[in-house]
Amino acid sequence: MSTPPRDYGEIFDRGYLHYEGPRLGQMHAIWALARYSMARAVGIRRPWSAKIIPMLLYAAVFIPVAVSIGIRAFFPAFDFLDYASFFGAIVLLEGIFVALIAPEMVSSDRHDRLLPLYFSRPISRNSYVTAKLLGTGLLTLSISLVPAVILWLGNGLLAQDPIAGMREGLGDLGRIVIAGTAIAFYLGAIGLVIASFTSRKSVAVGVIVLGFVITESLSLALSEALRDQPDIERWLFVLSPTRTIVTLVDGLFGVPEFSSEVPLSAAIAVMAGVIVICSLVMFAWYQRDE
Amino acid sequence: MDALWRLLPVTMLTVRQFSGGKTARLVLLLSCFPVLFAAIFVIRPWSGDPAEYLADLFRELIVPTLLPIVVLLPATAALGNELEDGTLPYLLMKPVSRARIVLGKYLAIILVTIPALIVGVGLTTVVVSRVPGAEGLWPIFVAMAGAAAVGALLLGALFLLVSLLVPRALLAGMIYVFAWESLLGRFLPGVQAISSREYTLRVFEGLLDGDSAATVAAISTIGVVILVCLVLAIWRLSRMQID
Amino acid sequence: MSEPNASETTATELPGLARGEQAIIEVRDVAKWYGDIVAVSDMSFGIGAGVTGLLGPNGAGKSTLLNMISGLLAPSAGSVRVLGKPVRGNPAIYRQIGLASEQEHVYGSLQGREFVRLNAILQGVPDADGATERVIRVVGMESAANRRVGGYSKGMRQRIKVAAALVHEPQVLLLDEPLNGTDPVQRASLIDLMRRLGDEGKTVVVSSHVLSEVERFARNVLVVVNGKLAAAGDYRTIRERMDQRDHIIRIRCSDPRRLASSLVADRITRSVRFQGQEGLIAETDDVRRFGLLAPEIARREQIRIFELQATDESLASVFSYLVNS
Repeated sequence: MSTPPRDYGEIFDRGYLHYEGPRLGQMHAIWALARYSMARAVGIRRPWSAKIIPMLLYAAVFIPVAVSIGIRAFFPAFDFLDYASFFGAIVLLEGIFVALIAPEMVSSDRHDRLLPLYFSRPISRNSYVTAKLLGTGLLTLSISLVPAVILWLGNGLLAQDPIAGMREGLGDLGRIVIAGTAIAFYLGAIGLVIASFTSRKSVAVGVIVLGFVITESLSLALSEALRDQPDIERWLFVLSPTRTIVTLVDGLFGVPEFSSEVPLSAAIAVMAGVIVICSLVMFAWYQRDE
Repeated sequence: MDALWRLLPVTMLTVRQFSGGKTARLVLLLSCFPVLFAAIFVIRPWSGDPAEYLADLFRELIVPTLLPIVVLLPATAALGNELEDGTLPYLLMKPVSRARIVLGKYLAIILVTIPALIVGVGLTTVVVSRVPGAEGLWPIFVAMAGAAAVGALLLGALFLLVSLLVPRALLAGMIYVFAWESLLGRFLPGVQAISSREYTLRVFEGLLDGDSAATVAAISTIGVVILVCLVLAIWRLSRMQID
Repeated sequence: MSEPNASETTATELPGLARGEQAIIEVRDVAKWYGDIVAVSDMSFGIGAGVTGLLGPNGAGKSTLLNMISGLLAPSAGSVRVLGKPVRGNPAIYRQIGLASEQEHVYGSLQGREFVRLNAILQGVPDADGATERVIRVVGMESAANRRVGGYSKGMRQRIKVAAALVHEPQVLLLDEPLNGTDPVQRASLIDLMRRLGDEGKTVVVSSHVLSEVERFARNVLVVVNGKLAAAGDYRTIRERMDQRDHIIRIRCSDPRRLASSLVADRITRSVRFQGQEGLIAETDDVRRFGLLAPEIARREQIRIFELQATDESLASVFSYLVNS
């Protein structure tokens, strides 16, 4: 037995409100994603197990700084760690740091299939990539710039006349900032582009660390082989990110045997170029529909 | 093929996971990297003796850098992937002893790394032999192959255990290999004693010099460590809890 | 003299089991906590043969419970025994247990058939190939068995997991939300499968949200709320025991008003409401007696009853009562 259809029908607005007000733009989206990615990569708001390795790396980098300042405090004349040596010593640690954060930034999004989620939101693909590049670079600053700045502060404060000492050291500070920033975004871009091709974090880690180590060995081997051809040999550092960084740092801080051979600007140009190329590759890669 | 699955299901599964992913290809590629260095040397030999170069290549590049990475990738992935992907219950909820699971995984690691290492080392030797006047390379190859195999067995067991104990085992392993062994090892002599690199090199030198006593001693120590690692891994697996 | 089987002597003390029923799964005083968070708190129950539904809101502890029964998780206190033996640290028992959980991922690089076969081999099934084919047919995955599991839809993944859990014909089958992601046809066939297994005497524990379907295959239910056991047993019996709430009966008849006045005269009718021309909704606290009373009155007054239905006998109402109280 069926009752005849009624004519009555009504649709109620169940509370989905349309938002007509002003919207924060892409810049805000980029910054929000960058902030979130940075926190997650370094273990903030995650269980302690995600924090150990970042802590270890920070410890490894800050301990020499603390030791150096400590020694300076007691033996003011003794210059334990000059900036060039410091930067040179931590290159590998910076590489491992990037190998830690870059996969967390992009590989995990791929593994957890978050990309369709992100791209269905008002964040454009380019903004996503920009946010990740920004986040990686900024986060790497914490290991490439901050320790060196603290070292500088320590040196300055412990000098005979702190104010004058710091004023004199401003040149050094400037160089530190240039070096630290360049290193952070250079390594960050390379690591990120490698990590963005895979969804498995471990594979990304392996390729990044290996990439740095093998290119360095290869470049050194080639240098050995071509040491009788200095014109070619002097450019071989380009092949290795770690050697490029050392070249930059030595050039900036005026280490004698380097500054005459390779123009500093060449190293900076190479780093800038690599950052641009990596960024372009990533922009293109993320345009693909999964 | 079928029979292999029946006999060694855990191993075959793991090998499949390696080949499916990029791991196996990467392992082979990396093992062959020394060939590049050898090629450079052939084109522009910079030190006198090719045999010495080959041995140094092994000591300075392969053992400290290449061997660990090549073994670390599959070793941390064997159980690490299962943990990360959440597929471990399929192995645990079977009437199969935990020992069989761990040993099956270990076998897969060995099958993927040792042949690749031997091929890589072999190709490198072949390339170096192109240098005119290169001789006495065969004993070096044997020593390299033997030491690399032993090193792989050691690191494989070690990192199979570590992957059960620590999250991000691969990263932790990298830090161990690069930061710990290269930085600290240089400054603290004590570190040498517990360094896997040290024992691998002892096996190499022992085989090279024909010093069987030293070789056996090193291999015995390594053997004990491997046993301990595997036993601990089995114990850890049997106590593992999955939410 | 052999030691009396623990499950027999104390089976009647465990909630969830009828008198004299053999406990296949025994959970005694089990608790699970993670630091300050208590996931399961002091639960004791038994599960016998047949299909048992495990119900509860999200976060109630159902998955934790299933993981403890399957031995993947160790209880912080208490004990879990299956077929009289402890599950933890006892791999041999897995010959009798199969688990298909929503939480597990699958080996994406294997084909469906390979995946099921792997499980068969690990289980030590004598004819792995035959068993694999049989179970693939049972879940209806023949056409997709050659494809990579990584490319399966959710419903297909569920079914291949069930196949893998069944390939060794276990005595105990644990299913965590097996109907999730399945379309109505697949759902019907899975429910049919569960019913058949229950009829064969297997012990099937199904955790589910889909109450209307759990009604169709589960003989018994266990209701878990906030980590505690809220109710156990046949859900209709549970419903009758919920005597704080009145039952609602809907009647369609030829003369609702006359029927209503006679019903109201009897003590057991709490309230009466009219619905349309023929409809009558009565509330009573004694369904049985009401069910006898109404037709009696109708016959006496010569009223024709077209329909008489207890409207909230469903599992959903039991569930919402238990969850909300």
